[in-house]
Amino acid sequence: MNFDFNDEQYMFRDTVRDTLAAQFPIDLFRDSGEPVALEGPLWAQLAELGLFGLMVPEDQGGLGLGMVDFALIAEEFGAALVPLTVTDTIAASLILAKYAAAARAENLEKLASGELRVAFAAYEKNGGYDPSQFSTSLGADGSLSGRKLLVAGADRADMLLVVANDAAGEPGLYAVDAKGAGVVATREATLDITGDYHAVSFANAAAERIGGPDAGEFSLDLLATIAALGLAGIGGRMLDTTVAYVKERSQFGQPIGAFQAIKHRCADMAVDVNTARSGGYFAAWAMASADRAERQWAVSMGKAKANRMAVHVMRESLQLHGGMGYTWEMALHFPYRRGRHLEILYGTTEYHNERVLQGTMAQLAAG
Amino acid sequence: MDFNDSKEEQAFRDEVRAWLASALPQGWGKTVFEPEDEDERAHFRIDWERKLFEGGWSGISWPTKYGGRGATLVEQGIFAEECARAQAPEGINVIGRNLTATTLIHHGNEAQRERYLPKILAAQEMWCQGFSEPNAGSDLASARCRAEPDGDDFIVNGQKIWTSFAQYSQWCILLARTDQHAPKHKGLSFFLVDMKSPGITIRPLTQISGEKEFNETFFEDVRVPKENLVGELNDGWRIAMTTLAYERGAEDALARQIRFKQELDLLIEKAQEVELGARRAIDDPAIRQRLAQSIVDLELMRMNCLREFSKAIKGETPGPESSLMKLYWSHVAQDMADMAMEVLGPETLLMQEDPDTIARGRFPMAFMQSRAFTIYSGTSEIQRNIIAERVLGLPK
Ligand SMILES: Cc1cc2nc3c(=O)[nH]c(=O)nc-3n(C[C@H](O)[C@H](O)[C@H](O)COP(=O)(O)OP(=O)(O)OC[C@H]3O[C@@H](n4cnc5c(N)ncnc54)[C@H](O)[C@@H]3O)c2cc1C
Repeated sequence: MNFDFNDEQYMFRDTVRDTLAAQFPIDLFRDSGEPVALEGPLWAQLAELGLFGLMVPEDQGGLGLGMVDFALIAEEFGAALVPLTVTDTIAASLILAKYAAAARAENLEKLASGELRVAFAAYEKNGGYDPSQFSTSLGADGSLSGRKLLVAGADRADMLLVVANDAAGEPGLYAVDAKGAGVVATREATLDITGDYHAVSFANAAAERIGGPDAGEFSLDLLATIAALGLAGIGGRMLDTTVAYVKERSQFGQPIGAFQAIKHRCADMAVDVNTARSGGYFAAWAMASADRAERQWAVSMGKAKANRMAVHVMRESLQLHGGMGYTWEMALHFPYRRGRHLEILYGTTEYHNERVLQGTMAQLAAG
Repeated sequence: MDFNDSKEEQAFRDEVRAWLASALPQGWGKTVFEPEDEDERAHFRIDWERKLFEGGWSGISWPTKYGGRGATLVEQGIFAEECARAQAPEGINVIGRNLTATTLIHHGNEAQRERYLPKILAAQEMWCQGFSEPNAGSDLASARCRAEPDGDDFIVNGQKIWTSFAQYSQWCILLARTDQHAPKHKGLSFFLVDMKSPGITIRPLTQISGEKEFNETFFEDVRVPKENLVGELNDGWRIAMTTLAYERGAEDALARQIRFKQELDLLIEKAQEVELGARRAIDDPAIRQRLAQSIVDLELMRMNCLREFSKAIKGETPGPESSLMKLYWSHVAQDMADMAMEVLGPETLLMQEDPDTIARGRFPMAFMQSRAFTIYSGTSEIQRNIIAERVLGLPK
C-alpha cells in the first residue's frame, strides 16, 4: 500500500500548473467573452505536453499512463477551468483503449496527438442520472436515435461517445460520427459560460458499439471521477484566492483575515478541500485498480464529498470577498459556475449517496 | 499510489488475522463483550494491551531497539484494520503510546527512551497527561502549576484538571512553570512524574455520560528528580506542541476511525432490523441519505489519515496540519452520533439496562461521549485558530 503520488507525478502536475498559469489565466474568460475562441491555442499547448496521449498505450503513440497519473492533472484542469472538451477527449482515450483497443488503433494514435476530439453524450432531459433510464436507444437496424444535453463542444467534436440502450434495452456505449448524417448539435444557454455545451439530437445515426453495460457505467464513473478531481481543484483555487484576499483587504483598521469569524471560516474551507482531495484520489485509484463494486462505491464517495465541499467552499469564497465577490470583474463567478456544472451534471450528492449506501450494504452482507 | 496490499502486506495481514482469531474469546463481539463496569473494563483493556505485547503486536512502527517491530505505518494501519474487523477491544494506554513515547522519541534523551519506551510497549506502565488546569485550558501556555529546583529534584506544586486515566496511571507527562518572569510560552518545562510520588492526590470527576474517566490532580510538594526533565529547561512549550501534534494526528485518528466505523456498521445493521411502523428504517429515503453521508465522511476520514501516513513515512514530522485531521474527525464523528439517535425510532432512547434497548444502549451512550470530541485535544475553535494562522498564514 502507498497513499501518495510519486515524484514524477508531482513534477508532471507542476509542469501542467505552470503552463496553465502562464497560458490560460482565468482573466481570459472575462476579457474574451467567448470560451470557444480560447480553446484552440490551449489545445495545441496541451498536445505539445503530450497530455492527450497520457492514457494512450505506448505502442499507439501515447505515454501509457493511467488514471492515477492523471489525477493531479485533472485537479489542475479543474482549477484552471480547462474546457471539458479536453477532459472528455482524454477520458475517451482510456475508454477506447480499454474497450476497443484493436478496432480503434488508428483513433488512439490520433487521440494521442490531439488530432481527434471526442465528446461524451450522456445525460438527457427527464433522464436523471441512472443510465438504465435514458431514452436514447438503438433501433432494430442498429442506428441510434434520441437527444442528449450538455455535450461539451459537440459542434467541433469528431466523435461522440453516446450512452444508450440497445434494442433489448441493455445499456451500452456507442461511437457516433459527430459530423455524420442524422446528428444535429445546437448550442445551449448554460449557467457555465466557461465552455460551450450543446444539445445533440440523433435521428437514425450510424453507431458503432464500443461496449455493453460495463462500458456505459465505466464511462459515467470516469466522468464523475474527473469531475470530483476538478471540483477539488476549483475548491483549492477558491480557498487560495480567498485566503490571499482576506490578508490584503483591510476594514476597521486591520486585515479582515485577522477577524476570528473569518479565520474560522477559512479553516473550515481548508479542512473540506483536504478531504475532497482524499476522496478524489481514492476514486482515481479505484478507476484504475478496483473491481466494479468497489469502483462504484469509491467514485460515488469521492463525488459526493467533492459536491458538498464545492458548494460550501464556493459559497464562502464569494461571501468573504464582499461586494467585490459579486462583481463580474472579480471573476469568482467563473469557477463558481463551472463548479456547479460539475457538481450537478455528473451526479448530485443524493444520487451518489444512494450508490454509496448500496455499496456498503453489499459489503456488510458479504461479511 | 496503491490501496491494495503487496504480497508481504497480505502475508502480514493474514498473520494478524490468525492471531486475533486465536487471542479473542470464542463468540467475541457477538455473545461475549467487554465488562460493563467501567473499572473492570479499564483493567480488561490493560490486559488486552499486555496480550498484544506478548503476541508481538505492540509498537509495530517503533524502532526495534525500543522493543518495536521496526515496520512502517502501513503495517500499523493494516493491524488497526484487522482489529476493527475482529472488533477487538480498544487499548487504554493511548497517552503512553501515542503521546509520551512519540514525544520522547523526538525530545527525550537516550536514557529516558530506554527507561520508558519498553514499559509502555509492554503495557506495564500507563500514562496520563497533566496539561490542562482550571485556569489554563485553551490558553494552555498560561499554566501556573510550578516546578522549582531543589538539589537533585524539582518540587512541583499546583493543580491539573481533566486528567484522563490518572487513576490507572503509573506516570504523568506534566507541563509546569519553571520561570515565573519569562513570557508565558518561554517559562514552561516538560516533566515525567511518577504518580506514586508522595503529595499527589487524584479526585475523580463524573462526566456527562456518567463515567469517571477524568480527574482533578493535585500536586503538593511533589519531588521530581532532575533526570525526569525532558529536553531543556523552559523549552516545555515547544515539546508540548509535538505531543499535541501527535494527539491530533493521523495515527490517533485512524484508530478512532475504526471504532466509529464499527458503530456505523452496527447502525446500518440495526436500521435493517428496526421497523418504523410500516417500513424498516433502512427503507426510508431520508434516513438512507443520512447514513450514506456518514459513510462518506468516515471513509474519507480514513483516506485523510492514510495520506498523512505517507508524509510521515517520507520523514515529515507532524505539525500544525494535524489540526486539519482533528477538526475534521471530531465533527464528522459527532454528526454521526447525532444522526444515529434519529434513525431507529423511540427505542433509541433506552439505555443498556433496559430490556427494550437497541444494541445494548450503544447509540445514546456514543452520543453523550461524542460531545467531548470537539473539546479535548484542543477545542474546535482552537484548531481553527491554528489552521488559520499556522497553516494558511492569516494574521494573528
Ligand atoms: C473528556 C475529556 C478528556 C480530557 N482529557 C485531558 C487530559 O487527559 N489531559 C489534559 O491535560 N486535558 C484534558 N482535557 C482538557 C481539554 O484539553 C480542555 O478541556 C480543552 O483544552 C478546553 O479547555 P477548557 O476546558 O478550559 O475550555 P476553555 O478554554 O475555557 O474554552 C471554553 C470555550 O471557549 C472557547 N475559546 C477559548 N479560547 C478561545 C479563543 N481564543 N478563540 C475562540 N474561542 C475560544 C473554547 O473553544 C470553548 O468553546 C480533557 C477534556 C475532556 C472533555
